Amino acid sequence: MSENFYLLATAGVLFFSGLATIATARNLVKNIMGFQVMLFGVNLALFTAGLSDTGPSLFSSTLVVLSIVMGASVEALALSLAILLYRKYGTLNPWLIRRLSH
Amino acid sequence: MTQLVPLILAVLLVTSSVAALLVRRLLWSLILLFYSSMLLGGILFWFGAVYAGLFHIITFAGAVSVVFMVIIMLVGQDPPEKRVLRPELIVGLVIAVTGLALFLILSGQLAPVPNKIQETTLVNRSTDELGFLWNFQAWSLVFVLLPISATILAVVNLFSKEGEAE
Repeated sequence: MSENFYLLATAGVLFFSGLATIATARNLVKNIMGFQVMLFGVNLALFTAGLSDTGPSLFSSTLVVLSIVMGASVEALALSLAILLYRKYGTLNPWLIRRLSH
Repeated sequence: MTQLVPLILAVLLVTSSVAALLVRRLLWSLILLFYSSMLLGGILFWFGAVYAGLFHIITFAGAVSVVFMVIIMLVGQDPPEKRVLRPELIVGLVIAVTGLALFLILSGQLAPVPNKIQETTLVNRSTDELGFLWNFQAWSLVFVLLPISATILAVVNLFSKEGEAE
């Protein structure tokens, strides 16, 4: 299917743009947003892997739902940690937090 | 027409997600991220995974967006940083572009996952010494390359000037 290729390309663009954001952003909330975009790419790749002419496979749909649940949990935990760090150090810049913690 | 709609959805999804990551104001990022969650849910819907699409929209466009909104309300907006060409920015972009190129090359050979897991495939796999790496599907190589690139990134961050470890 030709759809598989451009869906996978979309997933790849999403994953690696999220990865680049995590590597470069200097705001923890922006980092978590990058993680969310990475997760979108993963979900789309999992879904596309099971896509055939008869429709999506049950296995890949199940994996997508599992990935959504786990990703949302990890994001919620990361956001709560970001709040704790902001209360303690007064900034969301990870480099500044690292300096202040020494 | 049937192929045009998911293509448009995919282009809009990439555009809104990348814009969300590039915009400096967190509130605009959040709005664009909400929009891209809806679009991804729409793609899942379009291809027949109704429950997965609905669950995606409920979780990300609903719950996670609200949590993001609360966090942004609590911490306010940091002043936007000046954009300079930092070393880690270059490393991150190089890793992202290289990984994306590898992904696109390898994903052309992807075979769809079967509906039923075949038990015989475990037996029929060859027993090469390096067969466990990418014996099953060509794009399994991506899962090997990703940890390697993540490790490179972590090492570069550890030894960079600002992020120096103790």
